Amino acid sequence: MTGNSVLPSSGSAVTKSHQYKKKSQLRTVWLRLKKNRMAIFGLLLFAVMVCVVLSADLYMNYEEDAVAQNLSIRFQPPSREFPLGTDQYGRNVLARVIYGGRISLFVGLATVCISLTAGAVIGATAAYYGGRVDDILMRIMDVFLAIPNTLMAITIVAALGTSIVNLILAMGISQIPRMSRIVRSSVLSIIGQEYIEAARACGTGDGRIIFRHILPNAMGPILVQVTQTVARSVITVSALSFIGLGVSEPTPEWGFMLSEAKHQMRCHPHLAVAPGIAIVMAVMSMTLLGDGLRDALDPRLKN
Amino acid sequence: MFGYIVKRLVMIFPVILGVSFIIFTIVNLAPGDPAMMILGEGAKQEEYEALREEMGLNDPFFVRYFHYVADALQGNFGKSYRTNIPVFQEIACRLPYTVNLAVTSTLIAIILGLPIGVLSAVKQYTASDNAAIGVSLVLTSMPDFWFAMMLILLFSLKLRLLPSLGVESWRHFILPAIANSASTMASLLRMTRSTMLEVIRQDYVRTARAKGAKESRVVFGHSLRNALLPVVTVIGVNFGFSLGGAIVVEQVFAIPGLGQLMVNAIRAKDTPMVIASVLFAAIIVSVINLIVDIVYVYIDPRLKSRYVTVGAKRAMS
Amino acid sequence: MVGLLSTCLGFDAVEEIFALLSVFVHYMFKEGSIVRKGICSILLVLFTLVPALGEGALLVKESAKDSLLWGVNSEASSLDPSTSKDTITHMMMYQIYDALVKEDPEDYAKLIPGLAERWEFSDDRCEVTFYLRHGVKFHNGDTMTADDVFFSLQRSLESSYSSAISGAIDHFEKVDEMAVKCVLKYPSSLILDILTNMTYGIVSKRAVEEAQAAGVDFARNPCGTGAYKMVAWKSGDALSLERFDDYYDGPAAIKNLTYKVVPDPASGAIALENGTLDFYLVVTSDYNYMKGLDHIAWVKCPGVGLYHITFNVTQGIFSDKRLRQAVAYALNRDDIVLGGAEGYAEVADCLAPTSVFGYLSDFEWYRQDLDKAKALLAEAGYPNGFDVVFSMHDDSDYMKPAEVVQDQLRKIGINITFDKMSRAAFLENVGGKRNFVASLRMVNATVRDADSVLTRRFHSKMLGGGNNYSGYSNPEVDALIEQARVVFDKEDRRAIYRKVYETLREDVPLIPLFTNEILVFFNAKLKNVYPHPVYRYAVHGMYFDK
Repeated sequence: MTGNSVLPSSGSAVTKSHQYKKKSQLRTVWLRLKKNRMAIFGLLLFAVMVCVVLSADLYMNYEEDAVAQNLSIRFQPPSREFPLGTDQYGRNVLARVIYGGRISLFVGLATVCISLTAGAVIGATAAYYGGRVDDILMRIMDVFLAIPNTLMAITIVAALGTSIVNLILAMGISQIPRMSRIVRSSVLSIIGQEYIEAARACGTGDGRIIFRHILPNAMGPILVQVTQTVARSVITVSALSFIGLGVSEPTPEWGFMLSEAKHQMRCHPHLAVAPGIAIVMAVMSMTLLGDGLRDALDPRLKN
Repeated sequence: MFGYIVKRLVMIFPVILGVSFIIFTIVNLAPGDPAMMILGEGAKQEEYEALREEMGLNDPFFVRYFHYVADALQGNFGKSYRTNIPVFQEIACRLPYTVNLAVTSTLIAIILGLPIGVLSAVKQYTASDNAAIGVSLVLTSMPDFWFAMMLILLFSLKLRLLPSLGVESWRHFILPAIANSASTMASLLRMTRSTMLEVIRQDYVRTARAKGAKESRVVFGHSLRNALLPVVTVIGVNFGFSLGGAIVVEQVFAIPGLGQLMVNAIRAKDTPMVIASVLFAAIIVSVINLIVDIVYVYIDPRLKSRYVTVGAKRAMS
Repeated sequence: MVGLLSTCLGFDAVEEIFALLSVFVHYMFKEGSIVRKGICSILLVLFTLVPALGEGALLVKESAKDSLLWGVNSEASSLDPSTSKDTITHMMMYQIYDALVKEDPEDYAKLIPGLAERWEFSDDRCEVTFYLRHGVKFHNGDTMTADDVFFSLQRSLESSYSSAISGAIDHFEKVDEMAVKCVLKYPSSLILDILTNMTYGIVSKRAVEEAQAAGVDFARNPCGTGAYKMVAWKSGDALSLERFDDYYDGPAAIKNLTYKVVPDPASGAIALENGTLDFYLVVTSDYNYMKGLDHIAWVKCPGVGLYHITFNVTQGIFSDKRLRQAVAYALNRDDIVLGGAEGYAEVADCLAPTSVFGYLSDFEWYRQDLDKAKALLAEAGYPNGFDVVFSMHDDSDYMKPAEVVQDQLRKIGINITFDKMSRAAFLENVGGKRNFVASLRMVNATVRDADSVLTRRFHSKMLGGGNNYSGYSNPEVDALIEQARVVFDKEDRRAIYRKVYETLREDVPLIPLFTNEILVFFNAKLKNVYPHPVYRYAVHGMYFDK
């Protein structure tokens, strides 16, 4: 009974110090991030792109602007009505690029969801339980890591058919090993700390410890990996669509638009340039953000 | 040290077995009947059935898998469904081109990426530093097929300097290697730059400078060696990846390498070929990772002391 | 001495001289009067040495460049006539093998003697006897005899690859050392066209038997009589051929011919433009640009393929005829030609390719009428349209017109999703198991007659063999098709086909879209390139100008 009566106070002591820790870490990271101009640029660029893409339905209509064909106005050069011209079916290229952003964003987020969920569960479990469990799980991850990314994605998509769902599945699965590794190593670095020991001593359940105490503090490196996953998935989707294993007609995905436009590069270069630049901007913003976060989190780079 | 190497080598086998199981499962999930692919349309039903029996396609899944593993352990990886040529021979034919491409692009990445990264670190925050960072950012963010097409348009069409297709001479490998090396070079540049920055601020460097050592000695003598550590990892990882198949670059430049082989095999549901070539890629990636780790141990004095001392201690006691 | 002679006169000349010398010796010491022998020998020497001394000029034509690099999008499936039937493989095989009958390179509608120097039809036209050319050599040195021909033809007939074209043939017979007979099941006016097909190319019997005995794949080690012989085949990379000097029609001008695999059509077009490739089958998207280049020449001819939409009439949503008619009313085929083939095609109004016999240019197909389409949809119980999956082979030739169709059907509420498959999966699912609802495909009239398309796509006998995808089975149509085969008068045949088209128009198992034009582009310095609808280009006659 004495032990139990001690519990609430030590519990709240743990919680208080835990909250204090969390807030100060987040704040520090944010302050350091703000100083990095490139990272802020990346963040802003990404935010702008997301806004433009998410609000597309307010000023455009998917079917009319991005999908409907009008073969009498094929291959128009950029003009006031069509800022980026029209493509081989007379569709508005700008509209397609914007809606293409929506697809890339969706695919990127979905891939992150899959790889993060599965990777976090696997990585955290491996780190927390250690020993045999850790070994087995990491061996299995090694197996998946040994298969080159693109190849894994191609095999899965070729096996299950070309559709956005299969694409997301393929890319999500190929990113799980990396994510689980990151989670595992950052969890390992936290596990030794005192407040975890204290929580265990209090008798808090394992799951609760993992999800409420460990993972939130491991967020830093995980966030960096998330940005890298989004960036990589945009490029992988476009590469897969380029070789014909990605999305299907008439989806305005950037890589798909590039594969349709590569024949027109000499006569109508605007068709190949626009989606390419969109990809570069999206990936670059994510990379800058990820680098900035990594620098902000790195204790050794205190200027 | 030796024990570590042996242990890692042994660990490769279960990994490869796992890879084979995963790929076998995935490929068998795919629709597409090899018998139909080989005979084409218009053959009679009995002919398809006969061919399927002959290829052993009607056996249950695990039976087929065990047959495959048993054969593979004896060195028989089967024949391609499409061409009836032993799988090993096909891979051996394509390997030189892919290796050539991987080596050339890694070399280009190192030759361009390392020096610029060092320069960039030394001249931090100047215009050239920012330019280098900008360029490397754009290069990582570009899809490699787009970069490849741009290169072809510029050098092959407009300037008529370099060939855009095929593998006849060493000149044919220049554009593909550049296209392939873009992302490696960019990450090498940034990696070198950041580790150099980190090292340059260390105390022992300041001491060396205080002692009056020449700037170049400071840079090359002390900083560079320590900055090399993560660089080795990046090189290894990217080399392994290129060997795994620079698929899109090979397609655009019509290089008959492993990547093309794999994609065609997957499309044709040529199961023995798919499994063997993915296995091959996996083995190569694992071996390269092992080599990178070993080199790492030798370069990083902290790790070296750990591994070497243990052995020495044992010898002494 | 022999070496000296060889370098002076060219190896071929020396061989000829020795052959004639041996004949000369035979005459001298065996038969006839001395005067006659003398005159003979003088004439012989004059007629052979003089042209031979002219640097062998008559034996080999001049070509400024001795290598031709030809880009192809996929490699040959097999170089054995009896196990191949796709047009690209046949394009390459056309250089390695010959058939009994061949098309005149300059006018492909005209048939001329190939390996058979003449032929005779029996009175009931159910038998054709082919009299073989003498002195034709195989790449392995053997001389062609009726044994080789009979072996090749019978072998191909028994192979499943020829089933689509061999409907009329019963069997072959060897008549004597230099004649082979073809026995038909019914008198067919198309038998000569059928025998120009490379599936009936002539192989060396000894080479096939030796390959089998040695466990070597003949399909990768071909031996034929053609103008080029295979030197090397690097799988997935290139097929290298070299001039066969003993070709019966004289050696070719271009010595080396290489078919290089180009996986990406855009790179291929660029390679043609910058001179890496000499010949390439460019895709429609690049036609307009390539036409504008001065150093690239092109030839065109109407194709023999019919692009069409095919429905599964026995299962799935399109088993209701009204829905098929609704789709037919909804389409604007001129737009499909523009968006799908860049305008390089002719709209087909009946179910046959526009360029073959049996196509009726005055036949009328459904005119676009969106109201009628929507009314039919409502009548069938789908007033708001429905979703449907089109199973497609993911080739841009099919996907481009399909994308236009997708947009046009969207306007009446039918939402198409594409299930894109590789060739393997497509052949199995759509061709074999008929596990599809609708698709867009092309059928080639391998023999240039409407019968070839109508039989393959609509006759009940072709069900379940990968040809009659739609599952259409109508005994009246069967009877009409069979009747048209045996009638010889052209007008009568056309009348019968008109009835067939009318029934098919009512039932709409397939919707005809267009017949594409075939344009090929090549280095402008390459001469004697003549157009052909299924890519049978005879490299033998080509040469490079300076």
